[in-house]
Amino acid sequence: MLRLRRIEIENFASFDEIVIEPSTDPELPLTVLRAENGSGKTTFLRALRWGMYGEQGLPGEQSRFSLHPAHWQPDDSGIRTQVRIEFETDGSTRHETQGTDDTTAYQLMRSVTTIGKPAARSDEPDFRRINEQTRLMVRVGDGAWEPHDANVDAVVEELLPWGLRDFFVMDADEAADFVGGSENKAMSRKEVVDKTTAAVHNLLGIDVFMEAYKRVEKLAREFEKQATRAIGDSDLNAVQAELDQLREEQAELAEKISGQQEQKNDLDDRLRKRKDDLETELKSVGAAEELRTRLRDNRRRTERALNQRKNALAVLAGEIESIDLMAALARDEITSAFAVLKPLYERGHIPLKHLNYVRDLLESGTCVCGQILSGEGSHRARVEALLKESTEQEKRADYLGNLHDAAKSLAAHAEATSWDDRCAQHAGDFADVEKELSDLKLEKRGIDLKLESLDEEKIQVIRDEIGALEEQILNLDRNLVTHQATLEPLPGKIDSLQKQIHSRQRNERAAADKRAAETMAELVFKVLKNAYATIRDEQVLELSQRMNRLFSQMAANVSDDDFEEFQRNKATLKMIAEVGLRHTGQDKEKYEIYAFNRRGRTMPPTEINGASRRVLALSFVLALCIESRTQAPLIADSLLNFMSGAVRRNTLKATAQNSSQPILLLTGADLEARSEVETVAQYAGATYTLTGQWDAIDAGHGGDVVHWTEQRPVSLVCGCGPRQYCKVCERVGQAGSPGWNKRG
Amino acid sequence: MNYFATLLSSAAHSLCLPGESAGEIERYVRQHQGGSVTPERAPFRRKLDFWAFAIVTATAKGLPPLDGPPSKWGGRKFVDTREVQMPNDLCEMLAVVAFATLGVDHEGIDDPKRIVELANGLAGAGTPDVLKRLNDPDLRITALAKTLEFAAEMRKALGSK
Repeated sequence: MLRLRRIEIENFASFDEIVIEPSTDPELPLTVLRAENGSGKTTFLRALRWGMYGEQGLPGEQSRFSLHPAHWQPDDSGIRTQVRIEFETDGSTRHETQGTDDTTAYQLMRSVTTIGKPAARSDEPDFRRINEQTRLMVRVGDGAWEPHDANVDAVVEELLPWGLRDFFVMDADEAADFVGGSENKAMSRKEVVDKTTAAVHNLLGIDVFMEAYKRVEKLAREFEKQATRAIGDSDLNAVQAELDQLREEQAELAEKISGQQEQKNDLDDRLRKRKDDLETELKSVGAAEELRTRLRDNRRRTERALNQRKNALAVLAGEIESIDLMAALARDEITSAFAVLKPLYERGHIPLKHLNYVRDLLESGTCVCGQILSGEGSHRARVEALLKESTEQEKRADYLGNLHDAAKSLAAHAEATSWDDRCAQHAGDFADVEKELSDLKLEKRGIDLKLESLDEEKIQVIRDEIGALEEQILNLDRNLVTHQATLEPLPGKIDSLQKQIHSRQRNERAAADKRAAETMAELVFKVLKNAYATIRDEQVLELSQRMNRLFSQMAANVSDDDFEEFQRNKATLKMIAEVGLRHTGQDKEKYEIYAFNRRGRTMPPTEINGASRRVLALSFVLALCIESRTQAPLIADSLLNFMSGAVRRNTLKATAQNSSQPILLLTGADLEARSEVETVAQYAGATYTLTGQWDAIDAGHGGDVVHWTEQRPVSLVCGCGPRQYCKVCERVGQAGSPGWNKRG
Repeated sequence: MNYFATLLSSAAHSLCLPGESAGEIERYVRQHQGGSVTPERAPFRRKLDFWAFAIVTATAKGLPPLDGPPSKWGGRKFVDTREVQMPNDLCEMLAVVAFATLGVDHEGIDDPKRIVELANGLAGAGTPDVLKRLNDPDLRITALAKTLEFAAEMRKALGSK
């Protein structure tokens, strides 16, 4: 049993100094740390991991990880970071429950000093850490702390082994990986299987059985050798040596085959993945052809639209030359000219059309007045003089006549209003073509982008990879066949040699004692091996069933009472119908988590959504704790991410009910619903809120924290729970909102 | 060719625009800009079209023609009436404008030389206004749009008189 009592963090990233005292009340086991994004949840988890596991607990390349405060500068003097974790245990190991109420309190303290370091490049750390110290203290009778002489790392390894860190100090994003690897393949299948297997062996304690039967088997072999040596026959010694040799060979081959089988499984996985990739890429090639057809069509339509644009522009520009426009702009001149010319025209002064008539009459000897004109008469002379005078005016009058016609026609153009309408119409046509061109351009850009993203070279690379993988698998298969063929006769040979030796040993008195001991050890070995297989299979089955129940409870809202009914009707489920733990193929010593769809088919991890992966991971951890009766804190960050509605509500509740000390790092959004607030009220013995002070409005960074109480980039902790706020954590809109209370 | 086009083309009369603005004017004339320039940047097909637009700009704005022969006000010939096909409507309009400007009793109202000289004077008077509008630094609209807008505004202003 392990229970955290107090966590003190000093000068760790955004924390100056915070103290968290998780609930130790069995009736109210839940501890909630509420924090908005970027307020210190993950930092808290990292501080805790560092406190427990040191540098190896930090993510990524540890030496580059800045665990010193953000305000510290390399020019400053060194700064000391410290994490102090107080916990209690009843002395139980993972394999042996103490079953006592007496507990002992310990204090694990880890500290380090960060100092500045010159860095040549901007991507090199400008700091380094020195003087890392760890210390374990034990509380003695009078409540004082005394140094404990145990090795700190060994104690931590015993209580919460490094291999189980993802299960008990859980970043749910990472934890979701071990249910089958994530889309980005952060973990290979082998890693996932190894991790899951280690957790099962470790917590269920079945590794103890395995170790025991292997020890007894070794003992039996030793007795056998001693019995042979007691006989002192060189021939028998040679047979024994041959037997030992064969056994060694058998063990080596079995190990090789197991390793190669694992390697083959991994290669098979990679091959399957690459074949999926190839299929996706090949589909995209089909899409590429379609895209190219669309591109050609786009090009044709663009050319047509460009011609239309050119024509529309020419028509629009042609309106500048329009006589309607010219006449309208010269309207004053046209109007005044027409006003002068019109009466002249109407009076017949322009043009002088009658002159030819007068001329014709004169030639026939008649005047327009009807008088006969004699050849030399004065009347005729006068008419001729008048005609001559008028002829001189005729050219000008003709000109004015033409001018009158022109002015009249232009006046009509000047008054025409169609120019504006035509311009508007042409401009509209032009705008339509422009719009069409713009749409075509956008369409082209979209097609180009899609085509760019298609990489036909990639297909060849994948094909090459598939070829290489297939070749590797083929080679492995050949090796496996060879090794298996070599292994196959070995048990027969071993058995025959063993019988030969045992037959001689039975007939020799000198070997009787050792032979008896060997027989007994053989018997115990067989019993233990069978017991191990039975316990292993039963426990794994129970664990698997427990997982399935928990998963159903959290993901599908199924209570224990409804479980049988749910099992009958699970075909109605849309997605995951069953989850559990199973052996990986032939190897009965390795386990993996599985999820079946309603047709009983294994669902690839990539088909399982984010929320379900989290629930699956959590159901595995909780089921393991229940089945192994492990009492340890479960510290989980982002557990409820991607979850909503009943799944979120049930997950919170199931965690609170099934873990002995759940410490959950949640966002405000996780605690918005009334049911979650009620679950926290029902199960939480301690609640805290972390607030990033840089998020304050008056800090000028546009956050929504109301008060800027610390003018440094630090995260502060207060004791507010869901729907509570205080001066430290108050955010915009909380005051006055229904259901929110100011904490005194 | 109608009566006035024949009259104006009967002899080579020089059509002129202000010499100092020749480069600027050419920027807006497609004929002088090579094939790739669209009407958006060079709204006028030929210099003759710019010349006609400048004339009607002067009449619309009531600007007096620049006085005297082009040499007097710095006019520079860009073409003569024999080298270019003068549009019938334009020739009619030039004659009518000359008549209205000079008056019915003026001796030169039917003299093509006088008509063209007066038209040149009006083109010289209107050119600065046209260029001013075209050179407006508003880059959001094209030179063609500026020209059409300018024309529409002048039409509207005359209509509201």
